[in-house]
Amino acid sequence: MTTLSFLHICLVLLLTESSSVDCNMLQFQQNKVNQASLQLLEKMGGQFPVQCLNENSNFISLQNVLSSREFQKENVMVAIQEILQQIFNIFSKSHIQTAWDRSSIVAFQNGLHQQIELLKTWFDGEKKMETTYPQNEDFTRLKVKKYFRVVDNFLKEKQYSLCAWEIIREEMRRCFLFMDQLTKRLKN
Amino acid sequence: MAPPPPELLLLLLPLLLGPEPLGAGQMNLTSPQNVQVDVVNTNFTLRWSWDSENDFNVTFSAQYQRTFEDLGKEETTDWKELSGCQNVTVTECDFSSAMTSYLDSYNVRIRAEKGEEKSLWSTISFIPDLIAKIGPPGVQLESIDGVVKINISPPEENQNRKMWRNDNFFTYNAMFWENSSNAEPKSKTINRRDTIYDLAPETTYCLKVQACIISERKVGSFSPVYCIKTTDKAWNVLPYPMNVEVHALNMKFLLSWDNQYDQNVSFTVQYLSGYLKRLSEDYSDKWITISGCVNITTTQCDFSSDIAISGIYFLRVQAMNGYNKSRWSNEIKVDPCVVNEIGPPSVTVSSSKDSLRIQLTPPGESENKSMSEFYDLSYRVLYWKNSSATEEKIKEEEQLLFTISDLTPLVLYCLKVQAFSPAYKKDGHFSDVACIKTLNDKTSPLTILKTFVIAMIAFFFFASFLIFGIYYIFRRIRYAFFPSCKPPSNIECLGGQPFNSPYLSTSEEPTENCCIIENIVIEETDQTDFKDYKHSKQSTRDSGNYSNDDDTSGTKVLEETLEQETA
Repeated sequence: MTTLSFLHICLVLLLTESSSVDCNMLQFQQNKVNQASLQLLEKMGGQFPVQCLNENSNFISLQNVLSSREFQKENVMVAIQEILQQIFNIFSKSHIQTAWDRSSIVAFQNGLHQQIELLKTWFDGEKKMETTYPQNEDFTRLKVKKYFRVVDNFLKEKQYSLCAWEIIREEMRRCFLFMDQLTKRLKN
Repeated sequence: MAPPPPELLLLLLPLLLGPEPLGAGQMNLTSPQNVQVDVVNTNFTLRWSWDSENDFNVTFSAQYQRTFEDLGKEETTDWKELSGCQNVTVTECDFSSAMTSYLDSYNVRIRAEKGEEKSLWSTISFIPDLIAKIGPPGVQLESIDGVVKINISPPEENQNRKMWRNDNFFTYNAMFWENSSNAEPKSKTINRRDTIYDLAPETTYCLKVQACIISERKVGSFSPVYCIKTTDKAWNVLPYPMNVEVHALNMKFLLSWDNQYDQNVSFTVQYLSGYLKRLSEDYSDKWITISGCVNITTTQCDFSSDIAISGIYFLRVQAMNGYNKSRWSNEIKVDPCVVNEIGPPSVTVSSSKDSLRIQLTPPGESENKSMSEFYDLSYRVLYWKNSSATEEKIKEEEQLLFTISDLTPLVLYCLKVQAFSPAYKKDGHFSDVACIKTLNDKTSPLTILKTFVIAMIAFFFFASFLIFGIYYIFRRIRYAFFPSCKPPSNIECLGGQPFNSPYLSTSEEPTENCCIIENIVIEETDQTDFKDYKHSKQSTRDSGNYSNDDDTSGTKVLEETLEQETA
């Protein structure tokens, strides 16, 4: 147990050493993405429709899904990457709300895609492909996946109705606010 | 550092839970050994070994339970029979149909059975999502115009059940090689729909592809090898634009390409938002023509206004000559903030005796596109003494206003400044060199003030003397050479009979004196002249009406009278 922890510490230290510079860029660009995405989510659909206020969503917020243990740099990277990919997938669905502003969706997707690619290069630089056993951050990713499974199922159950999409848009806004907190953890 | 979560330990030790006492008579059968679960895509296989000699009466049966989260609480189901793994006679079984949620954690246990005899359970725990391996992707090749187009279908494309729900983010790794030669295979990361350029014509190439999820450290298995022969390059038509490049300075983006054409050729430029390459739909009809670059004859296109700063873009050019169209050029990827070069900042320098005060304006601010909006800008100043061959010194600053101190007084310093972005590892262009001399050591602000005041006073005195002097001389000259009056006729009469002064011997001096005396008389005499004139015509008017200080009215009346006369 102690040896494992020690090994883990060494590994994390080694990794933070080797990729500290790129981390600044990730953080800087992530901040830009967070701000731009919040604005675009607002812009694509405007105000939350009054007729959807009665709809019941009962989401456990992403913030509650991830415990503070996950807030270490390595985990934060994994969490952010998975969240971005999952959000990208939601907004790539062919059932996407047609009433929303098309150009905002395009800009939103384009921004997410750019950041996902950047994170991918960062992970690529880690060269950890040979480690096979599950690591701490794999469980963080799993939690994020589970949260988005709930989101996915919600949309399916509601048959991609206007209100379901509006609730998800609101929920995604909350995700970006949470990611803003996560991004602060990336600072060296 | 937090200790690893309990799940981690659970998974690290392939769980072979200890024997559970289940009653007498069961200890004769050994339990299955080396139990493992293999997952490829959504195909689950349970494997084990059983080292007793071949006994055809022995079968194996497995059970499973699922642990899942419900409203934040962990729940575990009861043991259920694992379908597909009941009464198996071999040492493996497929239980894919029993697995429903790949993110939950499962326990599977298996035992050997022979009639009523049953072995102990051997148990294994796993989370499908974590242990699943990626299967081979599907590959389609097309040979056209000397390039090879690849169309990849993700490993589970046409299946209902998907382990990889996020198949938009697979990374595809292609290995390709010339079929005939023994050259090393080349490796290339490709998109779902991609083109391999720069291949030799009329040559057979072979290729295999694997799918990876880099962030999850998952490397998939390779597809079968596919081979295809490239066509001859389609030179007989119009060649496509070559050497397409992007240059950007302060977010002004220019696409340029070689002009290799003899005839009159025009060009059209298109762009594609990068995220479309990630989606499953074909993006070939999603290219957008850049509004300012349709049928242009120059080999350069400014596309700054068509793209947003965030996002990745692809650009391509086509040449046209009448109805002849070339194929589209090789696509070029543009990541705006990465491609862009940062221009020089504008610099204002002032000096004191031992320091330089520097004020900067961020690059691009004059064009209303301040680079500080896009980058985390810091500034690097290079400064050196102009006189000697001393080395340059460097100062880095985040602020726009700062001083360089500890300098030598009365020395000419030169400097240049560049902006740089630590996050993007980007150095901007240097500003022009500016040189300035530091001030004298002894010049304190007080002495500067003193010198200034003294200089002011001296100047004032000098100026007033000068003005006074000029004025005086001017007056004298005017008095001497251009007297303001001419002696009137009646004075001339007086002059005709000069009175003899007893004091003046010369003939000129008395006339001068006369003038001064007669100064007042001049006008009176003039007036009297007029009076005489009027009196002769209008004798009714009293001469007292025409006073000396009412010249103008006098002349007016005179004019009126003159007019009346002429009428």
